Amino acid sequence: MKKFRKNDLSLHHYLRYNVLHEYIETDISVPLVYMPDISTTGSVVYEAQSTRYPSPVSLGRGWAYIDQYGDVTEQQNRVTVYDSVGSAISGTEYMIDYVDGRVITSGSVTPATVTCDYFYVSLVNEWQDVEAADVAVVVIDLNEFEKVPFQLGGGKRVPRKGYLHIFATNQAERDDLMELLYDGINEKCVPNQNWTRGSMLDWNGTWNDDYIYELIQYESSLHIENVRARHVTPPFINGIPRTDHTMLSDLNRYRARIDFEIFYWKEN
Amino acid sequence: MGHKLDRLRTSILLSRIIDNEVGIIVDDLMEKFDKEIIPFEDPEDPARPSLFRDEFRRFLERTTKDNITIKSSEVGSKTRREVSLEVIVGVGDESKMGFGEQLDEETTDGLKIIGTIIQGISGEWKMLSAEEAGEQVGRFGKLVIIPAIQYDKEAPKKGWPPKPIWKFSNFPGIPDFFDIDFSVVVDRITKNLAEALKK
Repeated sequence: MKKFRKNDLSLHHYLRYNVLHEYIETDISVPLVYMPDISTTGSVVYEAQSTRYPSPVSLGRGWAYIDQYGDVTEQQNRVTVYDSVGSAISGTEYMIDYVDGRVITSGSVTPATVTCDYFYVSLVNEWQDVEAADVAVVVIDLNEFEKVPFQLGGGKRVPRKGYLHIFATNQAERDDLMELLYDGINEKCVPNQNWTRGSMLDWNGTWNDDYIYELIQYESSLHIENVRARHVTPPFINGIPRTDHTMLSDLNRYRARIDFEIFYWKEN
Repeated sequence: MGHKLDRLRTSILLSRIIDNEVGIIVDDLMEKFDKEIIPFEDPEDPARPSLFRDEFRRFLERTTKDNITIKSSEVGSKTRREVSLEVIVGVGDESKMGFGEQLDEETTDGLKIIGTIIQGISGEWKMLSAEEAGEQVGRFGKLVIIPAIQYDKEAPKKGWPPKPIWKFSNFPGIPDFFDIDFSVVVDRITKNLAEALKK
């Protein structure tokens, strides 16, 4: 994994759990439906059928997989699976696909409902994902870097320009998100994780048992400075007459942008 | 009297230096415009950004000049007084480029197009002119963009021509477009002024 990707993942994790945790919501008693097409002997898959909008498992969202920021082990209190009589099933009886909102058992138990915490705000890395994600969406956009030598000594300062693009459902939500994110990153430090054995989730959305918390050696944490937040209204959007049809354009109507610089110190 | 003449001379020199500086800043921005916007335009688009290039340049020149302010103040003792200058540099009129929430009636279609491109826009869009619509479109301008789905739905009923998706749909914007190293600009102004005063 390249440094750029590691920085990106570290910032993503920080924003998700340390800043946007206020936007974690609970979906209660969601029916679990058996998925015969993707089940096999010994791997029985149930999918949560949430009626929430935006969908808890839409792009950039998913179920919460740690209890709180700083935890390095799988959550114990965020997701609870129940059987048909409403008794909680032990966590040792199933695995959870946090990305797609699924419960996978060996067939020894029959889950019926799930109560889970999920991320209301979608956090994505690609502008192209905004439309698919449904608002509220935050796009993390980290730009170019230039390794600049220390004035004295042999190390380097590695700065990057970054942007958070906020797409909200209304003015109040936009302003809340803008302030929350601004306060959450302004003059703050983010642990510069090495992600030595991959991210917290595996490729299939389940907890990565190999995950270890390790910082990159001989490099500082990620420092964020020069943070500036502004409302954004693409001029054309403001000119569109409001009709029922133009509700479609609301994706771009309540936007804000936070500009920042993120850097770390690196020893040679 | 001599002191006032000195200040007048400084002010004239500074004005010339700033005119020159505005040219340098605008050249840099227009270079970004040519490299980061023009290559993505649709040459068949009747409202493509290159058609508004000169208008955009004039807008940048005018608003950048308005955004460079010099504050002078006298410092020192009774026997020795010196003029201290503070140079504040800003670029463009941000409200017309989509920062903030006010749509200015003076924002032309060309500036709207370029502002929207710089800020980026999510989703697929089609562009419609008042001429094609046969009526006023939008709140102020002669052009609007409409979600592609809506356009295709309404076009047959309203007699709008078939159109391709606007080339700058789902465009991530150029958030660093106005990022200029202002410390370099201020250093240059200070250096040029010092040299001019020596002459």
